[in-house]
Amino acid sequence: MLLKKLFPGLVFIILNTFNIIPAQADSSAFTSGSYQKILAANTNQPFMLILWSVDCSSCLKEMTLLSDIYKNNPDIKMIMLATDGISDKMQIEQILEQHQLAEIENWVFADENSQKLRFEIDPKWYGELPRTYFFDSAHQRTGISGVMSKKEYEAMFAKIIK
Amino acid sequence: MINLTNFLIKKRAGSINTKTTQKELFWHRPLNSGRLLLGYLLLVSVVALSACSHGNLDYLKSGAADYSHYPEGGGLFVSAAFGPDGRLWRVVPEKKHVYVDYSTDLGKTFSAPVLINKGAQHIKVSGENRPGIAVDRSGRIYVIYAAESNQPVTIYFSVSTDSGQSFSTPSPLSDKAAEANSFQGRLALNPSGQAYVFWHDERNRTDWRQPGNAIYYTTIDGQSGLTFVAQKLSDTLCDCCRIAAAFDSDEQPVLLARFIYPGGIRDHGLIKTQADSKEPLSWRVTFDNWNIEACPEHGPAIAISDDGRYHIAWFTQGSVRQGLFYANSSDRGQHFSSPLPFGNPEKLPSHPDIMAQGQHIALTWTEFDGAKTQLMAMQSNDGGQTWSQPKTIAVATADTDYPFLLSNNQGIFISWNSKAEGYRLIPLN
Repeated sequence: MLLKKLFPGLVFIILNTFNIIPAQADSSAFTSGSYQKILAANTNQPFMLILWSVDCSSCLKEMTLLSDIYKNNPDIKMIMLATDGISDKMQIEQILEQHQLAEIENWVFADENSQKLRFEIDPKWYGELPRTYFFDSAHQRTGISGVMSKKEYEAMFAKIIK
Repeated sequence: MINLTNFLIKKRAGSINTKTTQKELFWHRPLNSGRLLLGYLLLVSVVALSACSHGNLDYLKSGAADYSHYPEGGGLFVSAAFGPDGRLWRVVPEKKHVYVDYSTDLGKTFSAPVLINKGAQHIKVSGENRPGIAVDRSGRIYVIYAAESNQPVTIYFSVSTDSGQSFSTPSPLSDKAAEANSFQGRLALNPSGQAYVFWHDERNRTDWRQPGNAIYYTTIDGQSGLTFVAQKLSDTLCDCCRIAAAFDSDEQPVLLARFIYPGGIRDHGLIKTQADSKEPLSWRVTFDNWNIEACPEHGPAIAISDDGRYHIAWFTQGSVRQGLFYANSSDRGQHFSSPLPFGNPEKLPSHPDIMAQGQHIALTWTEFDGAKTQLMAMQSNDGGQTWSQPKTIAVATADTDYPFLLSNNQGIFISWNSKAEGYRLIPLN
């Protein structure tokens, strides 16, 4: 009986101990002008903006590495932006939580004209995912399409932090 | 917790050779207890394989004039085809249901929609993973669409033999639909009216981290018992790009698709089936050297003219060239003309479609100027040797579907759907 009562609590403690219950993610709506707001909020600060989608297999493949990078590079600010649409908010947040990326700033496309949002970020970008932008403190940026290796991330960090 | 863990898995599961995959999933994680438990939870779930853009149909919007009679306002990704009696038939997916309607006034108004799937399904649709419709000479209407089943995505098939008044209960098209994802179906009729469907199939995948699907296909006999036997055409298909199909003068299907070539190059190849059950032929035809592991979601287009000339259009961001390109071949795809760039490179030219009628070749695509999407077209009257200036055919102010070229005895049209402006069938000339 006692065990029965304690069991849910024990499970909770165990899950928490091993960091299995993730923090809650909360995606902000990315609309026209949001990109400039992100830039303004990070003035004089290097950061990394990762564009992804719940329907992009390459992006999901990269999540474990991103999680790793997030843990091991506290000096690099990471921002994630899902291009799916606000109706996918819950799925997006679940995936971030699963990969211990819930705490980082994350956004989701929320406009009838998603092409326009993409264009505001980068008029040369065709929408292929994942797409990662590395900003130095002067906000000179480099955009890279496709999955990157740990080594490639580190090389880009070295470039933007210097 | 278990729900969270299962979420990703459910969304893109498709179990083949689960032993290998599970083992790899398990042991490639750092060995701490929490991770092990997580690994265990993954183990007891179905294993994830990858595939892009099955889509969840988020792009519904009510209010577009010609979808107002749809329960949920229609969908963005629709397909259309002319029937032998000149009617324009359309397949329209919504979140839970798929409908067919028709127009007798070249797309200005449409009939009441006929429901294809009586039981609600989670319909999967995106620009690349689109529904398909084709009407054969006898007026039989074939429909394919993708929906969640016990797999995250399965292609369903339905047929009407009474001129669209009723449709057969949809059934999975792939003979392995219960075991592996099937998606991005391409429905096409050969010149004799035989219906073919080509699709992305994950039945041969053994490692979810390795990219590349197989192409399978089947022919459909609208008269008999619809027993589909799937045949394999190729491996190493890029996961996220739809297949283009045309028929050669010998009526054999010719496919153009993005493949993964050694070194992770995402360029295009042709596949041609052969008579007498000989192995299909497959060879690379674009050499743009696009080295990327990503989801381009940007499939190519192919048309074959009466004189047997192959015409292809494609998108690349390769190191050799970037943008949209056209080429043709007079030796059945063995050699192609040098790639001709088209579209304004400053305006993200995208999603080409091509049509060939003898020497008359038409190309359509979209461009984006920062606020609006332009529907573009250009034409050749000499088999693709010289081209007219690109022309803006129409404009849209919110998200758009890809454009498609259709023809009937009145000429060539572009079928184009958009969120704000609704469906349009626009005469090319």
